[in-house]
Amino acid sequence: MSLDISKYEQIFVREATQYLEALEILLGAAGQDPANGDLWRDAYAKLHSIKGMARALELDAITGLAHAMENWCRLFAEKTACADKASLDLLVEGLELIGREVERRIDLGDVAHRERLETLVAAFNASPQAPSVSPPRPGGIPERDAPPLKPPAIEWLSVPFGLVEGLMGLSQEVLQAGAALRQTEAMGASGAPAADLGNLLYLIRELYLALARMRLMSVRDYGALFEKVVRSLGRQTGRGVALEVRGGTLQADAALLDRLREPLMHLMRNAVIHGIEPGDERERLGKPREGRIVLEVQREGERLVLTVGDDGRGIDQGRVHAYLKAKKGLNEEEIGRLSPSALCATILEPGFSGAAQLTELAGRGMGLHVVAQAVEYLSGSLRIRSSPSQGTQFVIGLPLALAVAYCLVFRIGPYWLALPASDVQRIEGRAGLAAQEVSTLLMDLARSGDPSARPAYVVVLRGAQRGVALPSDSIQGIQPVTVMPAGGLLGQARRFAGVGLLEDGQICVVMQREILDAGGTGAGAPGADRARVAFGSEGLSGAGGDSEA
Amino acid sequence: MDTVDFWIADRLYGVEARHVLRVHPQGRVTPVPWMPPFYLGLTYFRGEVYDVIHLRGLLCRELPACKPQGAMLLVRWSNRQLALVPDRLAGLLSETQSHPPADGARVPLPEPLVLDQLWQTLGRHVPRHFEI
Repeated sequence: MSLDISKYEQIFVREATQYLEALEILLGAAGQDPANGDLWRDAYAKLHSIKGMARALELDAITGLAHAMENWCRLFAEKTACADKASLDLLVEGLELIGREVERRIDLGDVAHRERLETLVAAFNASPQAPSVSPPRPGGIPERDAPPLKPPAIEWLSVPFGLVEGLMGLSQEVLQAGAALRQTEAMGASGAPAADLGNLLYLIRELYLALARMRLMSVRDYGALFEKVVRSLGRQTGRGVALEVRGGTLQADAALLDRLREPLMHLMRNAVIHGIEPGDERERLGKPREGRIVLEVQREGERLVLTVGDDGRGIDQGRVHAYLKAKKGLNEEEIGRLSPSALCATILEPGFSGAAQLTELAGRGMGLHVVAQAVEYLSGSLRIRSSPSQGTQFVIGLPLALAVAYCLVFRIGPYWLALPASDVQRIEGRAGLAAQEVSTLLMDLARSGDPSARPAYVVVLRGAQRGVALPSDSIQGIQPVTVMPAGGLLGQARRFAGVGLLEDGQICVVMQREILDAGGTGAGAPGADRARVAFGSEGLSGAGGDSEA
Repeated sequence: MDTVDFWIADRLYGVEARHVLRVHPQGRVTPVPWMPPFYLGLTYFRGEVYDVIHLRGLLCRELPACKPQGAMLLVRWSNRQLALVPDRLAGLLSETQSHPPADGARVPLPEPLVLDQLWQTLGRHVPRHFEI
């Protein structure tokens, strides 16, 4: 009887691939927190598992490399050595080499790979503080070895244990409540089912909110997705570059972050290829030899603001001028009259390319306009700041990005609307209609079916210079609302902060406060107000950029 | 190329089947103020919100007199997604079926509904804030 080795190879490929993906994330996290022993212990365990599987299949080279790498992880976990950038780079390179060989399901048959393997194993056998690896090769690594330029998909979320425990407890309560309901029904009791049903619905709502909180992802975990790709890009282009993640403890909706994964990667790729200067040039300019890309995430009020910045050469104004002359027919005088923000925004145009020549990495017409499109889809704004020789920053603002916000939910005519509770001062009865300056924008909605309609309530907004109030036919109350970006066509309308999902599965539209303020009141001049909020100031491809140049 | 076909007025249209996520019964559609009449509102399906578009209202400028019935197509392509409400679904047409059958009966070929073009058309009709 012959042993079907291919079956075991398939299992090896599947499991080793999962371990390698987890290791990439772990190393990314370790890059942010190199003294975290737990991360290194986890990495050690995963490399040990790969080693064990490879040994069983007599894949000696992979076994040897995994063994050498796990030794380093053990040293870092025990804190007998400190992980620095060079050692992290070396570990990432080791993972890449194992990954390629795992995909091929063969042991290192390729001479070039075998040589690289021997170099790597020798480096891992040396002290972690002084790895004896060669510097980045000037010509970059061969194309067939080039790592993928897309950041890995979000496949894992770190969830606090307490949240999972709470979820389990809630689930058990739901099951018990369901069983109680069934029992009451079987007994033929008349009054009890309504109370039992109410209890069950309450528990289901709690369950739903707990699940919504589970979809949050820390910025630190999100940033780790990009670290390996940025390092790989640096090696490919022969530039030293590091990614710094700021705002790591902040949490944001993983679905939203996932939508931004490729646009942010595009910005980082552009920063490495067009922004960061080669090491020698940086030294001549008095900069650190290694370039820096910063991903910063902040919450500003009800907005999530993501910034991708670099300390490179800034936007090539010569290329911008050349584009405006060739494609827009402008002369130098006309270009000179353009604002710095308009000049910056030029790089978002579909035909603009920052590449001097076609390479594997740049100049293929995939310009920054794809980033602008993605941000627009999420109903966000994009601003650009650039200074010659100091770098470029792309600032993406997104409305109401956190998963759950407390909102006042109310109805006008057929429309269910929501407004962040922090914007609401008080609710008055119909009599308040006369006392307040009621939004004509919403009053028109209330009267769209019946011109004589008199809404039952008035919602008075907080903090307005004059008391702006919203009419309402009914008030559902202040509720936790899962807010999703106003994407698609709704985003293009630029009037809404997002789409809210209520506990009962109903959806509502979350209003933008500034739009309501500017939408006109009974006493105001709507036309003038509208002009004040025209979207030229927040637009994507128009005057949206500003510049410190 | 397989297409999911549907009727709008007296014309048969087809959208590439690979873009169709689901044929979904019209459940809750939440109306949205200040949007054009062909924009029926929003619907929610498995964690995603879809703009619901009445195709006859958009393509033929014939506005729905009452809430349209029937199924809607949830489509997703190039990071975009829509819920399309046709007059009537015709079914799934595979590439091999797009040729006349042996008995000579005429099978109308669907007019391809190119989603990128549809998106551009929709974009032109959606009023930006300052246009209202």
